[in-house]
Parts: sequence; structure tokens; C-alpha cells
Amino acid sequence: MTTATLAARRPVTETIALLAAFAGAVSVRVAIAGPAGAASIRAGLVFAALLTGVAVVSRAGVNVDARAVGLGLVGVAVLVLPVVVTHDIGAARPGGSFATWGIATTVVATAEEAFLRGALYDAVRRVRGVDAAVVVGAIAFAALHVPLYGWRAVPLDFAVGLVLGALRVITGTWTAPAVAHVGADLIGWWLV
Amino acid sequence: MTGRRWLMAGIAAVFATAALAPVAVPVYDGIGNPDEPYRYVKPPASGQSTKAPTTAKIDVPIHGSTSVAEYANTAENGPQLSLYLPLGALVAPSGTSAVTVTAAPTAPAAPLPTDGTIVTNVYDISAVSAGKPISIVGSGKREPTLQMRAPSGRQPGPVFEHRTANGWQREQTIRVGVDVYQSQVPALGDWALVQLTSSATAASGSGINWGFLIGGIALLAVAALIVIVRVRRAAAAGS
Repeated sequence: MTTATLAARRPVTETIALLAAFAGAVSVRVAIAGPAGAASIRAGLVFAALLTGVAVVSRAGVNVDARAVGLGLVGVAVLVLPVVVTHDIGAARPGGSFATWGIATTVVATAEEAFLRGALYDAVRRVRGVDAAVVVGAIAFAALHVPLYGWRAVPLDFAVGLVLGALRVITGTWTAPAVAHVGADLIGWWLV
Repeated sequence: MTGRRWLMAGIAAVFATAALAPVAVPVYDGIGNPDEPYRYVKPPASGQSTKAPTTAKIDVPIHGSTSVAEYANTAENGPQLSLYLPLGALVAPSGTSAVTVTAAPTAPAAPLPTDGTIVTNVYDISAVSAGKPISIVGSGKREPTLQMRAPSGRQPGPVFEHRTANGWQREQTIRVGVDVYQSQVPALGDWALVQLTSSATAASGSGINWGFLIGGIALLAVAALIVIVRVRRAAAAGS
């Protein structure tokens, strides 16, 4: 096999490997979480460690700049506003400690973005272009929530994945979607 | 498509899907928001003290004599009950503008199910217009859908049962979330989740799903194998 052929195949095999690793990480999370599902912090942190490891191996670089953080904060508003407008904000609060939950949520959401809008985005973009990278990331984002919340969460999570992908396209770094994702998750503590 | 166009498309999709969601859905996640402890009308002896459970209530507009699509949730986080009424689920007398649909929590009371134990509150679902009860007439796609949250995600999970004149009747149940179950609602009245006696002893103790764990590790191994092969081939081609 020639060097040129190998070079052409590399992004495809990398994408396959990333998707296999992603499916494996989701399965391990579901397995460890058991009946606790999405509320299992232990399972969430193991999942985050696996995704972070894959992202590091794939050399998903970090680029933090003011523009990315600023657009990420705009993204927080974009993600939260529709839920505030279309659903009642409940008076009830979740159980447990916000600090513990908040730290774990920040770690998991950041790891998800490093993988989905970092490593996976770069791999798919090299094979099929930017549009495919946005869509594949959104599909993966929606799919990872199915074992935790069921199919009812898929439409909204897919739409959110598109917004996060758009932030990646606009800023050129996964920092912006990470800021948006973490912010929306943390505000979610006060939303039903 | 440019990033700005993707952003516009994504924002439109988020608004549409958030508005059309028949029940509250988790907000995006990282770690799922932990549900507050289940609120019982009459807590079990070992249960912790909680606020009182809430009632789901909605005024369903009537166009002509047919109800429009509506939904009602209780106010706990996550909701202990969500009721979705599709278009045409209810028919009211002519001149009626709205039907009030209520799902009120009550404590389990005799007669109780004979095939298991009620693990939730019993929810009394009713529909009233001008003081007169209204029945469900919709069937198939026009039949209401009921979701209820169980106190835990323990598996095997509970099933829906509905009180009839002949006692409690088991209904077809699907699990739609970690601890959320769904059933079609052919009739109003008392509904509850029941842990069947036959399944109670089969509940898993460790909580780890070994099938998923082994499958997940296998997939990660496949991914690692692909990376190793790729690196070796690249090294061989370079030399």
C-alpha cells in the first residue's frame, strides 16, 4: 500500500475508531450507572475520563480565546432561552448538592465537547466536510442521551447539538461549545 | 452551509423541539439533574419527609365539540406524572369552550392490586366540563398517553395498573426513561405503578450491567486496535 493511499485512508479509519470508542464509552457509562442512570456521578466521571483520553490521543487541541468564550456565553443564552420561554420554571429543586453536581457536570460536559466538537468533528470534517461534521456530532450528542433519558430527549438534544456544532464552525475551536454546554447544564439546575 | 446558517438553523430547531415536546425533557445534560425524592401522599415507613405531591391540571380548549392537543405535568422535579391528550381525545357537549383535566395524587386504598404492590401515589385522573364528567373517546393515535416516574430506577420495573369495577387491571407499559414509564390511557380514573410480586425478587442488587460493561470494553478495545494498526502502518510506510 502506498503512502498516499495510507494518507487518504487515515481519516476514515480514525473516524471509525472514534465512533467505536464513543459507543464503548457510552456503554461503559450505562453499565456502571445501573438504575441511577444519568444521576450517577461515578459513571459520568468514568465516561468523561474515557472521552478525554480519546480526545487527547486524537490530539484535539485546546484554543481558549476571548472571542470563543464570549460566543460560548451567547450560546448559553441561545440554549436556555427556548426552555425558559416554552416551559414553566418549576419551584422544585433537584435533590443533592449543587457543588458536587456542578463540578461533575462541568467535567462531563467539557469532556463531551472535547470529543464531539474536538476529535470527532476534526475527523469527520477531513472525510466529509464541515456540514457532515456538524450533523454527525449532533447525532452522536443525541444518541448518547438515549440510554439515559429515552427517545423523548432526542429531538431537543439533536437541535442543541446543531447549535453547539455551529459554535465550533464559527469560532474554529471546541472551547465555545464547551462554554455553552457547561453554562446551559449548570443553569439547568434551576429549570425543569 | 456557513457557521452562521448552522446557528440560525440550530436555534430554530431548539425553539421548535422545546415547544413541541409533549413533556418536560432533561435540559441538555452532562450529568443528569438528580430528581428530587419521590413525594408520597402517604410515605412508606422507611421514607424520608418531603413536600406534598402536586396535582397536574390543564384547561383543554374545545373547538367545535373536540378537544385540542394539550398536556399537563405535575410540578415535581422531575414530574411524577405527565399526561398528554392528543387532538380529539375528548368530546364535550356543544357550546363547551374548555374541559378541565386533573390528575390528583391520593394514597393507595382498598381494594388494592392482588398481583403486586403500588409503589407510587395513586393518581385520580378526571375530566370535567360545567360540573359534568367527560369521558375519553379517542382511540389509537387519539388515545391519551400517561407517563409516571417511579420512586427508583430499580429493575425489573413496575407496570401500570388501572382501577376498574372488577379490581386493578394491568396495562401495557413501556420504560421511556431511567425511572419513567408510559402507557396509553383508554379510560380516566385511578392509575398507579405497581411492582409485581413475581418480579420483585428478581431485582438486581449490584446495579452494574455486565453485558453493557463487557460490550463497552470490547468496543474500546476495537478502537485501540485500529489506532495501533494505523500507527504501525504509518511507521512502516515512513521507513
